[in-house]
Amino acid sequence: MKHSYLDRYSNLNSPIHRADPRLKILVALFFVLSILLTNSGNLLEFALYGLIIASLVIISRIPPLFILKRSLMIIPFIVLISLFLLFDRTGLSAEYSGKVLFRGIVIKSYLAIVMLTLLSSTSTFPSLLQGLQRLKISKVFILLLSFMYRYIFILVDEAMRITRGKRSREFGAGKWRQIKSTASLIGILFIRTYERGERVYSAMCSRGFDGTIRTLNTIRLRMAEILVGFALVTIIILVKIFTHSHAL
Amino acid sequence: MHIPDGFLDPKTTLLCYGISAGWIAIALKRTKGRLGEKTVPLMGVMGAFIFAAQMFNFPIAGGTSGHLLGGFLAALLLGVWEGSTVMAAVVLIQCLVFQDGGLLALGANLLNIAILGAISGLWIVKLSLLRNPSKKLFLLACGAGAWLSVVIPAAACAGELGLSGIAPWKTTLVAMTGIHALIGVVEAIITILIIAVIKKIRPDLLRMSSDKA
Repeated sequence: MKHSYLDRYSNLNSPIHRADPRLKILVALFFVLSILLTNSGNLLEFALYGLIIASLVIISRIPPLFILKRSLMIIPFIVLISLFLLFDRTGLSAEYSGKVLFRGIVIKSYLAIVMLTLLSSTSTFPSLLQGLQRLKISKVFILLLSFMYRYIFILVDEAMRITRGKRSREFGAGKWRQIKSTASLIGILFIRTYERGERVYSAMCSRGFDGTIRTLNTIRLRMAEILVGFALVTIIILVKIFTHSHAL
Repeated sequence: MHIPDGFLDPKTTLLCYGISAGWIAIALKRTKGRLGEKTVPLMGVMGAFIFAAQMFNFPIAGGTSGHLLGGFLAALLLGVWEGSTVMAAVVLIQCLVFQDGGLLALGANLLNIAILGAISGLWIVKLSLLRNPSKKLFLLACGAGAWLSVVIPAAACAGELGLSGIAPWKTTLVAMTGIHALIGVVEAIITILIIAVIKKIRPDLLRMSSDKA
């Protein structure tokens, strides 16, 4: 498999990795929300949030360089927005200049994406799904997601194999021919996938599948974790209150 | 086109979450009623297919390359409700595993990419089917549908940014739809070619979805 980068650090062992996925999802949501609700000019608040996230990264034992690399993904969007702000500033908030507003957006989206990277690299996808299911997300949807996740690797592998074969066969071919052959490969991959889906379904039926999947319940909310989560939320709220009275 | 966190204000975030959650709840109910438990494994595998299809790169002018987005293709092959549900699962995995699009912006991304991406193009194909189209006309309608399935979500994305007061309405709208009008042409060409292949080998798969839709 050439996509081990997917779940690369989610099997490490740290307090954050071990924590209940429900708790992680809720705290992450709360944190991102409070980042979003920060005034664009309040640099002190941003700095304190950055400090909290940085300490979480250290606790999680995920290489900071990895987080740094993943978080660069928002760059294209930032460029896009800055282009808009360059051309036309009508209808924008009068409270801040375009520069402060832009700086605020960049910091917010950066902090949020680091938080999200942290969430996804400290939890395996199945555990996130278990968490979502306990948070009352529709069971059918969770089932759909777990199927999808299982087959992504198989199909992406197949797609990579097909691409490699195609490249070695049509070295130097014209652009149009390349486009056409890639499209027909996707079409064929679809048909194969569809037929695979039907086979999977009949295999499941013959093993007694009745629409629900029963799994062991491995997540358990421990009191200590609840306290830590609660403490984190309290710290975030305190940062908000403190920086509002000491705005830079 | 995945919006990261920090670009949408709370009002827009909440609005998009509301619409998306409502739509997906209805879609899940409809797909469950129609095909029973058989849909879930099939839809799951199809979602993985959309992921894999996005891995193929197509050479475009001057060294750049693009890939399929697949919202329209999913809707055409599976039906509107199933297609948008599958795309919603794709968007959720992109967010939670690949950090493509933010946690709070997820509602908006679901609305744009999964819902609007699936529903904005299919009506043209349905319209063309009423007139018992030739193969050429059917493929043309598919191309138009695929084009719309890229351009309309882009316009919605611009609208959401405008509603959040992040970027000015008009410029964003013009720029976003302008860029995506070109990306849409690529999507249309790829989609037409893919559908032509499926139509040649397993035409029954296409017929099934158009009956359902």
